[in-house]
Amino acid sequence: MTVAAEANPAEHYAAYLGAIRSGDRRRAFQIIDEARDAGLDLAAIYLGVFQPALREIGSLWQNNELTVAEEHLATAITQAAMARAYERAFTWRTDGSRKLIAACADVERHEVGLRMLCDLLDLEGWHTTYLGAAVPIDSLVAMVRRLRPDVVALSAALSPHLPRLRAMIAAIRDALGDTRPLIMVGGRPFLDDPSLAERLGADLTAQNATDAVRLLGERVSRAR
Amino acid sequence: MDSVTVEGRAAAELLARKTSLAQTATDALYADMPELTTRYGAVGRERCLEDIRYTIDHLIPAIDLTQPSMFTAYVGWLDDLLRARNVSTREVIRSLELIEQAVRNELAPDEANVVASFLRAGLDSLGAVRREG
Ligand code: B12
Repeated sequence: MTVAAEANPAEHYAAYLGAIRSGDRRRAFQIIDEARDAGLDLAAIYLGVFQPALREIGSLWQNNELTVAEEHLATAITQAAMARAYERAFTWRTDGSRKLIAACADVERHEVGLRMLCDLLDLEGWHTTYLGAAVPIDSLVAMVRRLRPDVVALSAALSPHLPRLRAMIAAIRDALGDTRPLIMVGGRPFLDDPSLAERLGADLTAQNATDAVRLLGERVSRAR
Repeated sequence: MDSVTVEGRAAAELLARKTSLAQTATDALYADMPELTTRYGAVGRERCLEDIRYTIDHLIPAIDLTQPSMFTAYVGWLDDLLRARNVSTREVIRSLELIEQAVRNELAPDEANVVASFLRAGLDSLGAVRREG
């Protein structure tokens, strides 16, 4: 998953940000189609266009330059554009063996980053089970018990949610003991301080979806 | 939360008393700065209560994980957010001071000292922002 030498996400990013700022869904789709035609792969579009665009939308909201409604619109367009870009990159190829369950902390509503991780793993042939925002601890544990994934990926975007993430990790460890899956965590608090992962009881963390895919590729193929 | 360490106990107490601490600090802020009522009205007071609750929400994991930078990053974020909405840094500073006062009234002294040290770290970080311009 590398960016084609000539393809530069930066110009697509600027155009895409303009489109979602003004709430123009068609224009946003068109820019992403163009980015693909220019040779950007899914990882480059996710991390080079969508991720910085959403973060900029957050800063604009923080600076009172964008209303909450405009932020919701920009996010909704991006989720649709992601699904569309994913559809274009999709292949039926799968190795059918490596499994991951992904969930956000039980109070967490930021789900886009975790979705990116799952989509990129899917393209690598993983079998991913994406549960999205605000997953109750008990139901997560029950699903982990049933599906026996290699990895559980957990996400939190806000530091107040970290104690809940720690409770999730503890619940998985308690329920499954030595047979538990690898536990990977990520999200904004871990960008500032990756060492938090270990302190919360997780095995792994990564700064972004691409790094996570690479790390899991190393860790899980070796373990099996 | 680790109930053995003083940090763990302080974080647990903050969580348990969040509502009353936020209410006390908000009432004190409005008593202290009566002009806030005229400036922001009743809606403003509700927002203020919400913001103070949110501040306590961020104080809890920082103390629990003994990570002052987690709280100072939040304070910087809050100050940017509020200044963009015409709420001055002075009000943010005052709210942190009044949270400390409320905590000292409600928590055991050793726990209150821990909370105060994190609030001070937040206040210091705002001081630094102001000096730089
Ligand atoms: C969209 C958005 C929302 C949407 C989310 C919708 C959805 N379906 O996801 C909604 C409207 C729900 C929302 C709500 C809130 N939000 Co918001 N939101 C954002 C925004 C603009 C974009 C988030 C995003 O998708 N980013 C892009 C993704 C791709 O980046 P990422 O999340 O960092 O993910 C990458 C890595 O972190 C990592 N990663 C993430 N998870 C994982 C997991 C694993 C296992 C691994 C390995 C890696 C990994 O890989 C990802 C991909 O590379 C951000 C701005 C920002 N800087 O992110 C604010 C932001 C996060 N929100 C913020 C706030 C304040 C809130 C609210 C509190 C607002 C309010 N008062 O209601 C609520 C809280 C809701 C809750 N309980 O969770 C603030 C947080 C500030 C702080 N205190 O630290 C931000 C930073 C905006 C800002 N600049 O002020 N929000």
